[in-house]
Amino acid sequence: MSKKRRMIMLVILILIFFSAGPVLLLFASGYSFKDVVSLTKISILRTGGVYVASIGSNSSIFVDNKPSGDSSFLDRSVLAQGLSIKQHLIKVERPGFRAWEKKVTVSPNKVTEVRPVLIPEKVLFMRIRDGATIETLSKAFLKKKDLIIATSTGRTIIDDSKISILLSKDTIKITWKNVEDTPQYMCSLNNCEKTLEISLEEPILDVEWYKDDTDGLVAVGRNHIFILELDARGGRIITPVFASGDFKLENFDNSSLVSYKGEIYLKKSSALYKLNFEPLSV
Amino acid sequence: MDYRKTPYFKVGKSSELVSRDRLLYKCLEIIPGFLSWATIAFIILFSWFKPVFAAYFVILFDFYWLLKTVYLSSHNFHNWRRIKYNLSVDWTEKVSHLKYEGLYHLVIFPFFDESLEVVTGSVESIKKANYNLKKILIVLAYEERGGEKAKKIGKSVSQKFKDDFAGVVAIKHPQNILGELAGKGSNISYAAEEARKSLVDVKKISYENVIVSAFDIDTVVYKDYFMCLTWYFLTTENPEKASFQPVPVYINNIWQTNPISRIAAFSNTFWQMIQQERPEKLVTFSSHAVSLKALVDIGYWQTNIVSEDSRIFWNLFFANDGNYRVIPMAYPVSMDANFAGTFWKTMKSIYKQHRRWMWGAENVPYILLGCIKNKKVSFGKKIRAVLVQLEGYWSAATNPLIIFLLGWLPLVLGGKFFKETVLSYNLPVVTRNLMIIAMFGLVALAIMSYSLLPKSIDGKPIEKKHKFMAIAQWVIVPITIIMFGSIPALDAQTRLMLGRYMGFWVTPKYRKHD
Repeated sequence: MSKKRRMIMLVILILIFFSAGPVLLLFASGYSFKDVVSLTKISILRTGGVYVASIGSNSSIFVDNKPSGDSSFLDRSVLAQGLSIKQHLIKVERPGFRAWEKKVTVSPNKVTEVRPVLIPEKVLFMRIRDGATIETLSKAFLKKKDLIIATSTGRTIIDDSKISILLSKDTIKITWKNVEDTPQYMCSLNNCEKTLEISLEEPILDVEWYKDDTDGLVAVGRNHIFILELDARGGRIITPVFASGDFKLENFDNSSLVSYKGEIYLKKSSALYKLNFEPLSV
Repeated sequence: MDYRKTPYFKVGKSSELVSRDRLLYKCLEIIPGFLSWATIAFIILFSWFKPVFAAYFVILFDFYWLLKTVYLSSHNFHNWRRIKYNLSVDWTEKVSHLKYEGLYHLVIFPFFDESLEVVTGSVESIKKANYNLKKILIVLAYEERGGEKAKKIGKSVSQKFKDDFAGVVAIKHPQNILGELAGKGSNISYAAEEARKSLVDVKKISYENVIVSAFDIDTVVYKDYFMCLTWYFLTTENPEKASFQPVPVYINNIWQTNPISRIAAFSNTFWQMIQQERPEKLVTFSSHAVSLKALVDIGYWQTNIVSEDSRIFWNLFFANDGNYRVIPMAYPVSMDANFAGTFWKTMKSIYKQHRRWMWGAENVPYILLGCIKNKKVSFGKKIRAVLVQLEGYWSAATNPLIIFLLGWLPLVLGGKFFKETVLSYNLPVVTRNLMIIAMFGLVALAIMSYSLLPKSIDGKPIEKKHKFMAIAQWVIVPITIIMFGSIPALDAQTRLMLGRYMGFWVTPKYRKHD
């Protein structure tokens, strides 16, 4: 290859590096370009993004009612980028589940993460009558009961290295033990609140994580079973999924919940129920 | 002062110098390793404390690497076309216009414990070469430490071919010569001097008329190698101030070894092809040729180092005050790919071979010292030599690591708040996309490598599965470039930095029926 040809090529590549390199950095940092076609009016805008996490496969994301991406078997989250700095309505649709939506504020050069708690369109329960299963589950309930710590302020239902959940009457108090484990919705301007309180209109008897996901809780109240979303941005979503009447019960007094092998079970006196949160088509 | 007469001219390591020079050389030995480790430390620390800057660096570096890939691939492609062209040229016709009858080729084959088959095969290829064999002198340089086996092979091969060439001698390199490092450099230097006395002087051949091809024992020449070399030698101005570099293609046993070895072998070939298109950066490597006069003037190859093949260029460069160059021949010689019998032995062997090649970093302190001490070399040449060598060893040790491993560090070490930035989400996407574009270059490499492969195995056409593997194997480049590029380079540079000097490790020449 002649020296001249090599030199020309080298100069071209250097020019590309110094012209496209900064553009690449701006783009990667969340800047977008407006009026690129009319070069004289070109302006650079700061944008942000929304990351919709853990929504399973085949979910569709809408930002301000415009399609903004689908999740797949390989990538079960969707990132919507280049969003203007304001509040946007994020909507998630997944076959077999209720539509989920929330208003989310987008900050410049930041990605706001939302972790939707998707609830099946129809939720069912089933009474457990098999003796062996009852015996196994009874042990699981006993084990959970043994781990509950009762104090003057309430009962600590869950207490591990990352998080603790304290129940007192109609309030659930959740405390994250490390900043690194605190979810993004608890933070703003690089400061994180470590404690969250959720109050309901009826006494809360017990809680469990919804589908092993620490962004949602199943709570059994005196008259209802709820699915609660911890993220309070844009208004906390609290969905009553069962009423005591559905179980032909006057109320859920003395009921408790246990999560066993990914399923949630309710115990009321000697009766055991499996709460099915899988969509019917699955 | 003649640089050849200074104590720096054939220095191998810092301990061979005295007082301030020893300290200076020690400091210079630290530089390649320091640069590489400092780069890695810089990325780790910035990923931790300034992840945004680290991410910017990674993106810009990946973009630079993509453009560099485009630049180097075009060189590679161009050289591939030149090789194809040179393989089709009628060199006899080209040389016929030149006066070359008085020219002799002296070929040195150093060996230690290689088999009779390997030694015979290499000499046999010279016998088949398109050149007047009565103008070729063969030197079988065997090691005394190779014992009776090496001696017998030397004797048997020289007997077999003695009537075919102008002269064939087997020369035993005595072991334990004071100040020598057991290896190729000391062996071929000894053999070249003995051959000068017993062949060249006896036949009264002028040193200017002898081109020495210093081969590895597995080097097999293509038909027109000597014609091609003769043409370059006779058409080069001041040929005694130039070395001549063929392209090493590791295909003698390519179908016997595994895809990882094949990739490692072709990666080296492609690098040499790229360098052939950048002659100002080209340094002698492995099998190379040089005039006997130039060798005699400097006392042959250094005997106290591992990288004698590249050091000979730097010896001649400083001996000639910078007026020395390498002429790229764009003509191949074939050699053995790494194959040690079993998969794991082969892996170990590839690693050790690449570490030995990367030990070429031992030239960096030599070049830096030469630039300081030899005032007659122009400033521009000094700067170029230093920057090219430093960049070469630095990039070999760090670039694959940055691209395929360290680029993710800001995401791992950057902390919670960095992870919430658009930059952190885009970092893997941008780097992945840049790498995917860069990987398109692999398709071109696969095609070029395929065209250089032998099209039969033991006389039988290659099977479809071999053809498929020859292309598909290129997907493992990201692994081989780290395993047999960065890591051995870092290993070698760290040893040099810490003064844990390497000895010469002989790559096993194993073929399946051995």
